[in-house]
Amino acid sequence: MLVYSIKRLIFPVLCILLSIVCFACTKDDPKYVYKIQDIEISEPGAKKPNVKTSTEYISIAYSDAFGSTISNDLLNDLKKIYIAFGDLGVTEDLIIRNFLNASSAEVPTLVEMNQDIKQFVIDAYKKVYNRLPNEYEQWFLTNLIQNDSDVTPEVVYYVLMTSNEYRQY
Amino acid sequence: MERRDFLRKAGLTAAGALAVPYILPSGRLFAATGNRKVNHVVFCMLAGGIRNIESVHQNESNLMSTMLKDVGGAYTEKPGFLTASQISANPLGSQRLQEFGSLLKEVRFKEGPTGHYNGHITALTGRYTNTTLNLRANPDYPTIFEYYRKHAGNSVMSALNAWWISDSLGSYPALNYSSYPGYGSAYGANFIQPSSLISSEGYSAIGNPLNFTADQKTAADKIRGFCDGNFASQFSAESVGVVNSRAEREQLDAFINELFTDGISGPDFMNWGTGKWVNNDLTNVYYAEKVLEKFQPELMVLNLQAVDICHTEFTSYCKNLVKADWGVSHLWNFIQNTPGLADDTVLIVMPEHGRNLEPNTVLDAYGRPAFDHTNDDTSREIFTMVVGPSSVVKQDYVVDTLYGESIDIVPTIANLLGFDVDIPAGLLPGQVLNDVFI
Repeated sequence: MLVYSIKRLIFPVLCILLSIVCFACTKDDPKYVYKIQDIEISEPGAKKPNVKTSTEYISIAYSDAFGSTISNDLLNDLKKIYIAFGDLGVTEDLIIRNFLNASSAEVPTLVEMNQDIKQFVIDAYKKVYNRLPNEYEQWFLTNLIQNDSDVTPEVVYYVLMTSNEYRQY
Repeated sequence: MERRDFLRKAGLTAAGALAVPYILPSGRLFAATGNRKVNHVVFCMLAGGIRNIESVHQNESNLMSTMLKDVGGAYTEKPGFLTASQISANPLGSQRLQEFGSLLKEVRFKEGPTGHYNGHITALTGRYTNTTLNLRANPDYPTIFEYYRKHAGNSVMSALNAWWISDSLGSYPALNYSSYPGYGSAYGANFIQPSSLISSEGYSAIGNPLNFTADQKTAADKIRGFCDGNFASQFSAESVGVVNSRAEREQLDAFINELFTDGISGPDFMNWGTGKWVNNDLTNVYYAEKVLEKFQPELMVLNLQAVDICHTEFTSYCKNLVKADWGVSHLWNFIQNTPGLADDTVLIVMPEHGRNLEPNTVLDAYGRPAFDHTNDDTSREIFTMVVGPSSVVKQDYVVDTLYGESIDIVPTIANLLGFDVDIPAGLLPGQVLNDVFI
């Protein structure tokens, strides 16, 4: 008699268990799938693998300093000067400082720089390096300008235009 | 102090005195293997192609009357020649340069094309060239500058001690170092082509630079360190030529500025004669003296090439030879009147090659035929003069017979500066010109 009763209960119990498994609570929105996106990690200058020729260096520096294209006559003069001294680093340094000392050089003033230092850094990187500064570069230069009165716009432009990154494209 | 401590410290002091290198008068810490005869060598290439016929044999009278004693008579004015009043006074007074050393009248440029660049390379590398020479490339073999900077001391000698001063651009800037493995730009000389650099164009380009305060330079260094530290550079020494240290670059920067100031307002700027006396050769000598005065380099090479006008104007060739002769004597007089250089410098003078025996078809305004240099025997005839302290160089000594080649200058300079034995065997086929030394 007892065995019979248990057999009668098996079916309802199985049905209850099956319904729990099939109809239990589920996540509200199962369409989101989280996974890792591939990101290429590289240094800022890694996409500038080529060293500029003297002609390219002078022409680009002139354009960056004055906002116009260098004339053929001036380019030829500068190329001659460029090779008339053995240590090209000395000549390049003098050429850039000469550009920046010209009254027509397009370098922001100290007042303009201090009005919006963050924008000054962005503009300088875009103009000279042809790219935006990354977060660390932005912080470093902004911080330095804010805390060191010797960092003038000319100092920043001079360093960027004589840096290793500027010699490559 | 206990006896044991005393003995230990005394022993360490004695050992230190032996171990610490002796600082030589030149500022070097270590000597090269050989002994130096002098501490400075100036090599003046009296280049452009000079025939022995007009130089040491004086067929047009003595055109080099400050350097050479008269052979057949003194300088004689001929149509088109410089008049006596147009020639500046002998810088050596009544003496001739050859009295201060040795004159080798029959030296040879034995092999290879008698071209200017070939001749320069041969003189600077101690090796003859051939027709495959690439005019747009650095020499294949090490130059005397590289041998000097690599072997004259225990560490690399400063580039401020080695100078190449050229009268022209073209291929000549490439002569300050070679492409030879193990040498190259790291051992190259400082190079200057003065007439292009110190010019009105040069002043416009680099004569008015922005100057920074010391604090601004420090700030600039911080930014530069940051920028360059964030950039993996392919920018190498080979792409920029010879590289000086930061401190040396500041000296060079100041030097160029001084040259511009001298050119604009120097009271004695090019004050060497009247009229058109100062030509490109004398300009080169002028700036060579400026380099000597400023840096007192241990090795300097300069060239003069105005006589190359002989391709079309023989008369102008003679006039320019008179000027080149005067320039060399002025250079020697300057050296002997400069403390630190006087009595411690050897000056070597040599044309890179000669010119043909037979003229070309061009006559100048005075009807004189012109001469090229196309590998005939006469174009291989050159002379060499070596002047220096009487304790080192035979004085007033002349060798009339065949002795010496243009490839001998490099080993001779190396011997004078004490590093000839340090140069790897097989690189230099030439010989030291021992006959001129005491």
